[in-house]
Amino acid sequence: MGSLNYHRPKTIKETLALMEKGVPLAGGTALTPQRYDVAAVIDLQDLKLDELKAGKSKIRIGATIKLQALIKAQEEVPQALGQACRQEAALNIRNAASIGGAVMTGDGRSPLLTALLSLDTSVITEPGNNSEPLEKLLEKRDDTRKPRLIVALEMMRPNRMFYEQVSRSPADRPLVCLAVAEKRTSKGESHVVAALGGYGERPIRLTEMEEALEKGASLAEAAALAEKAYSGAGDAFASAAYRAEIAGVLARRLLTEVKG
Amino acid sequence: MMICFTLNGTPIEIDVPPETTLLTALREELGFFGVKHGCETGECGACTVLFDGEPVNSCVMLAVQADGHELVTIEALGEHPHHGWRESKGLDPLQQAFVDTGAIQCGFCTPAMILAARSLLEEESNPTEAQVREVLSGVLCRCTGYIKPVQAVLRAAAILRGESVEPLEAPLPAPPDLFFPPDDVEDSRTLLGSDSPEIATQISVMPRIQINPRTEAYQTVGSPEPKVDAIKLVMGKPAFTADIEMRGMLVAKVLRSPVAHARIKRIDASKARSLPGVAAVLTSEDIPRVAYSTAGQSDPIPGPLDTFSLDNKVRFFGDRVAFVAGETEEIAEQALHLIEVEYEPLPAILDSAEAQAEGAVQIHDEPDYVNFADSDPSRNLAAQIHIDIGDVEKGFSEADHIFEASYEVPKVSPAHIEPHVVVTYWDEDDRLVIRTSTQVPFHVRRQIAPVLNLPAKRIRVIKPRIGGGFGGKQEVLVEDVAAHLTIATGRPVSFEFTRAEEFYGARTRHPMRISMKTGVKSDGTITANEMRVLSDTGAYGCHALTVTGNTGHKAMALYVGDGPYRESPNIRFYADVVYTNTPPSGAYRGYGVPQGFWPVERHMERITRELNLDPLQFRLKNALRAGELHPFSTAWSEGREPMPEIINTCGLEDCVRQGRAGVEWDAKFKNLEWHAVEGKPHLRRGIGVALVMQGTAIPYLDMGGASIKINEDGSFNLLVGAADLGTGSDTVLAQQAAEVLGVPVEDIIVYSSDTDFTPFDKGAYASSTTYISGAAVVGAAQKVSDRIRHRAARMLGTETEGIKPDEIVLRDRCAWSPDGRSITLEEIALNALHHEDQEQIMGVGSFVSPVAPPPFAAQFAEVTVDVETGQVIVDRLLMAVDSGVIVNPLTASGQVEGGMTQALGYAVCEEMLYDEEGRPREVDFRDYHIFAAHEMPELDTIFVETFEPSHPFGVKAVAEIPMDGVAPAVANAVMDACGADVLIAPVTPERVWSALKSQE
Repeated sequence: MGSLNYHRPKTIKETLALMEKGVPLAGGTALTPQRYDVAAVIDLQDLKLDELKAGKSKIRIGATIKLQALIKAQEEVPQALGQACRQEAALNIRNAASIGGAVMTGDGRSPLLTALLSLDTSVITEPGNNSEPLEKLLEKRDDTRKPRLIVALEMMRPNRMFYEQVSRSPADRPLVCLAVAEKRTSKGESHVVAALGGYGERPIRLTEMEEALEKGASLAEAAALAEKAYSGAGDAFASAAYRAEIAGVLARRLLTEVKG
Repeated sequence: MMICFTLNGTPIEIDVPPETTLLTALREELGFFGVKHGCETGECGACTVLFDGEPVNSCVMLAVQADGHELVTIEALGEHPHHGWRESKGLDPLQQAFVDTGAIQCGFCTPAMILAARSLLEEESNPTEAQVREVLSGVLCRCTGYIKPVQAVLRAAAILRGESVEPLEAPLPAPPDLFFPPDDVEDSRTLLGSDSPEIATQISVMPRIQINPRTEAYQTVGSPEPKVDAIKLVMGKPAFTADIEMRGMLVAKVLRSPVAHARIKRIDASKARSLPGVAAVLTSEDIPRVAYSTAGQSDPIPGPLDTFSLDNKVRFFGDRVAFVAGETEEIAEQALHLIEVEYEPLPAILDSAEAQAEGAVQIHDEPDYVNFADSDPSRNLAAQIHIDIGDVEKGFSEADHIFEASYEVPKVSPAHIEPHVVVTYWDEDDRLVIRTSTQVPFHVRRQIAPVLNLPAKRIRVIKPRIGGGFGGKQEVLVEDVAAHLTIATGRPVSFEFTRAEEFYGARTRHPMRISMKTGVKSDGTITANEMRVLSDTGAYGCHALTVTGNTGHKAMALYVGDGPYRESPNIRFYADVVYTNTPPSGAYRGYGVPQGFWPVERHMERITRELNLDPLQFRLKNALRAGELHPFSTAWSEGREPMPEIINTCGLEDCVRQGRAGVEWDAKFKNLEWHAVEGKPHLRRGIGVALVMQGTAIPYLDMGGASIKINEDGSFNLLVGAADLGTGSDTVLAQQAAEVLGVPVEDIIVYSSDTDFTPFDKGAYASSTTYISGAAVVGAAQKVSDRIRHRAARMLGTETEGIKPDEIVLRDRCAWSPDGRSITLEEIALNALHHEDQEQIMGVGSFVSPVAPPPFAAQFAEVTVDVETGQVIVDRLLMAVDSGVIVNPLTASGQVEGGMTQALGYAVCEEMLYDEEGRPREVDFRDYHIFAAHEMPELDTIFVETFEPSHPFGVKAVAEIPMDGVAPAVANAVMDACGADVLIAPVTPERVWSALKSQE
């Protein structure tokens, strides 16, 4: 426990130069309680990373955009993404917390991360303006050897997207949640992207189920693969048997919705 | 680091260390105490400020982030309406609406709610109810159930738009013969511009009341008076324990055990003591070893003395190891890490079923343990109860059917938003002042005196406003920590729990395993009823006997049987209360009764379904009635001599009738069409009921005192020892005084709970204040009234005209003779204090009751169940309650709404679990979920007034009974919806799913 250093850089370059010394701070809602564990924080509020660009096929969300801003951007982002943001935290937190912060701190019960995974999200980081799948970043986000600054998230604009969760009360954190998005290619082909949350360190992409659907798997077969994905997902909040079956139930429901 | 921002329109420049949170900067650097500390992780929202116009939580924001921004705190809004010669701008319309609608209970979260609402109204002048609920969703309130805050915001919005609003003068009548919804029910439930069909708030702020004719003459009792402390709370004034600045005040921290059970082999605090800024470090070697109980109860404590301020043994993860006082919180925290402790691990008992197993480790093996009654530490037994009423075995033998089942209820947290907090200091006479957030100031003084080796007369306990307690503060839990450190250092010390400490260092509801056995005849007559309880008191036996005793005393008293069984009920209640290596259980609103009604009402429901009986008729057929003996009154009285008690009043049948009509039971129960949800075959609706009773105070024991004196302007000072913990008890006591003295409530100046100045009161628990302390206030007021009338008679010359003082009436701030002449109370006061035969007109009253008149209630619940996932959405809760005469419909309905909301958490989501090492799963409001404004079901309250003859205004209790019936009513509704028979509370999705699986 020592004195904290605070920096508020004006440029990305300046920020990157500081990254060896401290950790980025956007809203601070997750970092402030941990402030004694870090030597310095680098406040990103002057970097103008809060731009939202909503194109026909892609959406780019600046890293410091507040979660509440995404809920208000009803025209620009899928409704189900807004729904997941609303489930992520209470309003006061959403007014301060950034999407970049949520990516770095959200756990397996994060509705927002689950929704972002289903949107095939990529994370844009500096230095190098690198783009890597969110799924990959989540696997190594605790690795501090190569400090990276998240500047934006890029995701597909889905043709349709649905989110559903099961929880103890309507606003409680999910025991199981599922997000399913339908991607349409320029050739008019439909692909399903799905992510499952409610357990563990991070939500998971249901790649096996997606691939099976590509190969024409039935609803029941797809749901079985969702169940399989959570077959070991037991903790103090719910058993693996329960989570697995509910993953299947939600998969059946949302895939039915996606298929119209 | 220098930072600049605009605060409430004024540019501010301050120098703060970068690690300072915005909350700390606002409170400690700038003295803006309207911003409250409720947690450190941003979930409760008590620390809300407007940051560039948006509500954010200042506890999870660094002060340096605010550099260059605009901040608004509650201090920017409004001012007291009367400021002498200077014209006041008065309260902000939002603040006024919160006062008028009774939206304030403890008031701890009120500033945050108002700021959040302000941000909405600045964007949207005509918000929907859903929008209001959404904007309030960032602020957790444990008191109100959110109805009245929502109504306040909608009301303020209407006023700001220039529209007329509902006058707040009287409650809505509920006709005594109501069987079906009156014609206007539908209108009264119309949504206020809501775009969400799931959310409905009645337009009417007032609850429905089936009024007792005896109350119609009352002027003030029964009136929706604003709370006497409302203005200061709505303005965020520094009214709470932590809202105080003292020169040289140290901050205390407690080193807590990282293991569930161990002996402390070695402890070395030398490094911590040498850290600059550390004023004191105390271990068990530094302070006297005094066995005591932390349970705040009357003398003698009805439980074992098994606790020490610090001990050489730890008995749960989170148990105390050492105390530190530092110049700052950071220094104190840092010092904790420098204390070296060597633990000798011991086997830990984490499951109550293992506590009495052969060879189980003995948790309390200290030689200075002091037994009470049947406690036996060698068997890990904190208390034992064996009660047999009638001939239970004979009753079973006469039954046509025997029903047996086992149930479980969880450990849950009171979760008051203001944490436990205390400030101690030596005053100028070297008397120890303890300013503390407690429900039991007088018990604190009595119980802490020997622990500190100070005579009680050298201790003064002050209770400021309390930010909620719910039983969690019926405990001497933090006062000794700060007091020991003040004694050690000679300096003021503040000590406040973190939210995590609230979960592992405070007290909880007792988890219990309960077995029921009931004999029933085929016609539905109960012939015998048996409950066996295994209650888990955790590591210490505070409230062990009395909480668990209450489980049987209330829950098993309701169903006595019918016919000859009603004359002579057969009831058995056996309980073992055992120690485990988990955080101690203690008092929590309901005090054992919610634990009892879960099995009783689940069991009754299962019986009605098995025997195909009408659930309402079956319950009423067997339920206790007015004029009957309370079956437990001759068997048990909290470890004291029991005395027979007759039930004077019981409005249970009317509660069922009113509730049945209000919830439209007949249109829904057994109506297949209603149970289905169109287009969603996986959803099923259900409706359920639970009947409950509670008690009002402890007979022959609970005593409250009050004194009243007249002032020169005809106003009165009312001094009470009663501890208003946010319930509004100061207000209802003032109303009772005002009724007797013939003045408006504003003429009663209430000062409560200061052991140096106010009369004794046992404190705020056992649903006693309105009844016990109220009767004491009435007694004091009658003495004052008597003196006033005598003097008035002389001043009016009526004595010579044969008019007796008894015939003079006090009304409208005057004393009236029967011939119509009057004299003002101000004239009488001046006469008494200045003019002739001078005297201080003053009265002292105290009251102890020979009975504990039970309130009764019918709790209804409607749910929608997802039969594929087990998810339960509670759509509606309606409680029809007989609490005797309602002194204040706003505060009373607030109690019911808030109580039902806490009980809703108990029903579906609140539960504290521990891992195999005894570490808690829940340490914050993220995992321990309490309901927020935007996810609430519809809540309804109906009062059925009876007139309890043992109280001068006919009141009974209202505070605790709303906790009792929601969980079983919800579970019964789930059973009605889909057949899932959940025996373990809370009714989580997985438990419903498992129950459905077991049917397959």
